[in-house]
Amino acid sequence: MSLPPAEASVPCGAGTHAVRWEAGRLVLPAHLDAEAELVLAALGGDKARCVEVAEMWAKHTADLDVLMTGPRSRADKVTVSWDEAEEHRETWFGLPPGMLRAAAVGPGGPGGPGSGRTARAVSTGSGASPGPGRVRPVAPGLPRHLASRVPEDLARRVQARIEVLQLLALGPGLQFRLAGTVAASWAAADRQADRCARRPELVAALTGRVAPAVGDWLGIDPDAVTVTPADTPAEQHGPPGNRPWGTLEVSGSGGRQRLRMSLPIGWLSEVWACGLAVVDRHLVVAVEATGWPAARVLALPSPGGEAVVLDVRGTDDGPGGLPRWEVARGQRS
Amino acid sequence: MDAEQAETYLRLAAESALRSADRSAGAEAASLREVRAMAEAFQGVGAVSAEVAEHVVDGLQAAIIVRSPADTAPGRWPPPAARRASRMRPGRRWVGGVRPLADGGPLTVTPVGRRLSAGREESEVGIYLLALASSPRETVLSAVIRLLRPGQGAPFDLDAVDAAGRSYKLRFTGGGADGAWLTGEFPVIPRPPDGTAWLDISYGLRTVRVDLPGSGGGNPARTPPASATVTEVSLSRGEAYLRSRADGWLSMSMPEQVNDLAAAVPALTAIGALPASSDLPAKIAALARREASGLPDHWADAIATSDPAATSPARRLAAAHLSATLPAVDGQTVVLTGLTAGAWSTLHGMLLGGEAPGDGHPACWIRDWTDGTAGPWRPVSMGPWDWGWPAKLAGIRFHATLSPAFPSAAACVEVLVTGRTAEARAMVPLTWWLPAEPKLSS
Repeated sequence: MSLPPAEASVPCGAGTHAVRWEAGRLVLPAHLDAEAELVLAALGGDKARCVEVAEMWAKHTADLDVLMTGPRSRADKVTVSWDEAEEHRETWFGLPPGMLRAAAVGPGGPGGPGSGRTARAVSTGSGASPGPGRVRPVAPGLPRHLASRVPEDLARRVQARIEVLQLLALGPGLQFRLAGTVAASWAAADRQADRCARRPELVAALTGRVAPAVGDWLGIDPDAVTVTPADTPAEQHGPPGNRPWGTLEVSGSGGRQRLRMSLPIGWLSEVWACGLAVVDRHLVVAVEATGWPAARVLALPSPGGEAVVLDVRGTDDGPGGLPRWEVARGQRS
Repeated sequence: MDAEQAETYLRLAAESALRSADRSAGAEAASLREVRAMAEAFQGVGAVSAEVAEHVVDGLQAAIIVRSPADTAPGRWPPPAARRASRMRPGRRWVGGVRPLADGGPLTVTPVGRRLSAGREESEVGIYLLALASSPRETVLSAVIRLLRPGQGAPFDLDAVDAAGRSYKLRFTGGGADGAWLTGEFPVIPRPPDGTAWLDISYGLRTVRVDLPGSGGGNPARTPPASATVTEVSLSRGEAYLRSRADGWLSMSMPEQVNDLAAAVPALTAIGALPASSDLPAKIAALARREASGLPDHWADAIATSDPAATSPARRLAAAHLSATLPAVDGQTVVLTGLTAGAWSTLHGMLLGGEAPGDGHPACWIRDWTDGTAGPWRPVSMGPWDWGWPAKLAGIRFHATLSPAFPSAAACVEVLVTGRTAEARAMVPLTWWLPAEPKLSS
């Protein structure tokens, strides 16, 4: 992916640690042996918040709900804190606000020693309150007397939703990167059968992200845009530059204009998640050469035009936690 | 119908709803309701599974929540468990909990029409035994209880003994709303053996004798089956869904829910579940606008009677012998076991066969014929949301509040059962007795 690393600050232990996304992986610079910490946690020790986040992400690296809940464009602000995610757990279970907090508070107060309180906050850079750094492994987030009344599958689904919200609480920079990583896992050449089985979700994931980009590019009503996955045979999966990018067709005119496109799922990870969807009035349809801060892309200057190769250059100061890209000098039309 | 096409349509509708620039709570709730209505409709016509429908709606809900201002986001929409609860009607209480009707076998319904009172009629608890329903698995007496004072609770248990000296317990299960009366049933425990002629049922020092069906006893005679007609209807899946749900919502006096059905019409058409030639979308739209013109009588009456101003004033309570078994519709049979008129008009009955109505059950309507004139159709709420309904039961008992109040001068009732595949109609004669109006102490 053509992206620089990005970090979120997470209250952990007595301080604040960085959780870093780098080259498609979530890494914990302050926990060099996270696996050993997990073993210790399994034996009854405290689990560091950073480790908990990494463990949570490991469960959702191919979860399409990350795409369903996460941002669609730079302008689409997803703001949630760890605490808010926990409050939504109450909502989903139909409990009064604050009930879980009250149930989990022990003599030491909220989050205090012996409270059994689960993790409180991951700093998102958007005002999330810091919480205690050490958390106890309270599994599905419900006190035992309540958990016994909730059907297991409902508890599991709610838990998964809360985890996705908590991952999105890592802030906009990581939201796009995590969503891109999920998309990349679905773009793998050997997952054609999986893509067929989950086609409606992938159509929605693509359309939901291409539509606002096309709206920026052409001014077409996003509701008039439909994008289907362009699944290419496995033998055509190859290095960037050798793959067919898909199709684009515009029909109607004026307010009745409709646009139909087909794009590979990889567009989400290689183009959209990198903030490359529209660069200098071009719709980027594929990446020929990934890289940071320089990349080479295939882009459409207009709906009926031929795709052109552009060298683009990014700076790490764009809105929404994504780079700002522009066509490299010497290539501007 | 193509399941993939339907799911794709639904998910793209969710994407469109999420793109809505208007982030006000009302607009977002409306977007979510619209997608939920589509999801329920697609599930109802078998285009998507319940799992997919729920996943899309819950996913949209989560996505909207994380895009909403923090002060309005949490707890704004009912969670899955609360959605069903939100359909419950307030203001009712329930004594003894829900008890499913036991499965199996032919069911006989025999009018009883006896009163048990522990003291002076004007001041004591009175128990009015309406009808006795008996299947090979259980025997149940439907009843109305006049309370000594509003809010008076259980126990209202009865004792019984048969000719052979066997003892039985009758424990009341039922509820009430207006504080003066309870309606419900007394299951006879254990079930009397076949051939049992009668039961002497006691409450305190008072005892009445009730003949059991098949005993050959003379009191009272079996009511002949209701004369009924059945009309088959041939509808597309989408039409059957819309009609069934509209019937269902109206029969629960919740016409506002029809608005959501109107939102589902274009979606059902788009996935090929609703023919473009159907006249049902126009009727659903008229229902949503509360316009009675062109609607079936029972829908038009439901709109009129859902208006609080149309409710009749309270009148003296009366109880009627009413026992009828309607022809099966969609594999489910409505059995009527009693009727009260006046201040709190209720219809007692059972819905037998089939499974819990996840995608709707036949709807039931009743109207009086008084002095040769038909009264308005009244919806009969047969649950499950009134009292709860565990999955996969053989049936339930219901006690539906009738609005407007039923006149005690009615000579007969007309019953209409509407389902996806058929409609059944029956005329059933009534015999009334009028218990004294209670003097209530507060």
